[in-house]
Amino acid sequence: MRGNREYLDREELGAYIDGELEGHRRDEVQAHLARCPADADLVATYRRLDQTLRRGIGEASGHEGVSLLEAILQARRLRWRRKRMTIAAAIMILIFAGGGTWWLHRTAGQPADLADLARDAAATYRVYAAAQPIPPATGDEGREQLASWLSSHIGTQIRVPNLKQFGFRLTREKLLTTVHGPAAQLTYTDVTGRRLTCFFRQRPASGDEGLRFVEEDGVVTSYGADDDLGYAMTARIARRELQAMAEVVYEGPWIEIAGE
Amino acid sequence: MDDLLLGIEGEIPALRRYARVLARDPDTADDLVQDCLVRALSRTHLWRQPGNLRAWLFTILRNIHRNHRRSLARNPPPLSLAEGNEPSMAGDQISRVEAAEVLGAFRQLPDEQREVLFLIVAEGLRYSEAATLLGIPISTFTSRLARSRERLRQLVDDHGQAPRLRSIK
Repeated sequence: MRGNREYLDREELGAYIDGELEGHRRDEVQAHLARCPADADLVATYRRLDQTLRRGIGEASGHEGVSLLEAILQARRLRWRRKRMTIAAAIMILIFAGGGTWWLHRTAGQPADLADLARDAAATYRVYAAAQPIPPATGDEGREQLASWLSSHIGTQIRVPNLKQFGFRLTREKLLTTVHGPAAQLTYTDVTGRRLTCFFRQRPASGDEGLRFVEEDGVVTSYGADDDLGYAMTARIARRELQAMAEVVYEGPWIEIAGE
Repeated sequence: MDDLLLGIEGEIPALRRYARVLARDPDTADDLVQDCLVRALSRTHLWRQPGNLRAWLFTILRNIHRNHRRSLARNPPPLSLAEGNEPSMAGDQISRVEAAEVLGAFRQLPDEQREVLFLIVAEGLRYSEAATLLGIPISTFTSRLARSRERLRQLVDDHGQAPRLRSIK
């Protein structure tokens, strides 16, 4: 059997074959293979299988059935549709803002802070009174349900980031009211108790904005926009660390909502 | 932007290969690639220059596939990795037999084993890129790959006996 210490484990041999070993470890494996015919044999077999597989799979090239041009046109149409939706949202906001002015008139003559309080109360009511219970966010399925629940409340599609690979677990999800409308706040916690929040809110403007960073008193926020979705990620950690996460979340494997 | 377009076009063959590993049926696979291209093109602002374009596109393709599959969960997918995608005249007769054997064994692997082998062996992704793409830790990825390789070897070994004996006649 291969339990013998004289043999290297297969992960190591595989990493060697795939060129994943750094100079020193690679030399060690090489030296070992020179001494161990059984492992050398295994490596040769793996290599041969790899090569055969590569060639077999490689046959499916060519472009039939797929059209880049068609994709370009479709992407353009999609962008237009999103822009139209944003314009519609902007009109709604104008109407809403008009209503707000009317409200101000009605409350004129009262202390300003009370008028604010009344408006906060109304805004909070609009968000929470209509809210269904938050679905539990466990597993991919749960994340998607949560995403569509939050999306329906903040009025634009959001995605729930998966930060597992950075050691952060989703521990709390909240719907918030802000002066600019409802927002979603997702809190993540790692084993050491560090907290990180992701914040989403619809924005009246359209257009995409790349990631930006702001830092104040050790609290770092990365933020940007994907069309009418404004997003931010905040934590009390090194900017470099946050940047790595933000890039993976926003530019890497994002979690989409099914049926988008 | 034009460079990016050219880059994306250059990745179409790789995308089709990956789609065929995921979808197992050529038509569905091509639809998947088409959807992937549309999404990538409408999200070009998310692409950052120093990076692996192939890994980025694979991520998009994989996400679309997962979403599709969820909606198709009730209808089990047809069991054939791109039928008619047999190795062609590369090499002599014996290596054709061998290639067919290896592909046959590859098709028998569970989905997740097929996928890791494909990403590394066929498409040459780095371990770190593939692990990120699959959303798993690199150690998990490495051991899954080792298990898949070994499984493939065993399958080829088991199956290898019969055809070789038959070819002697």
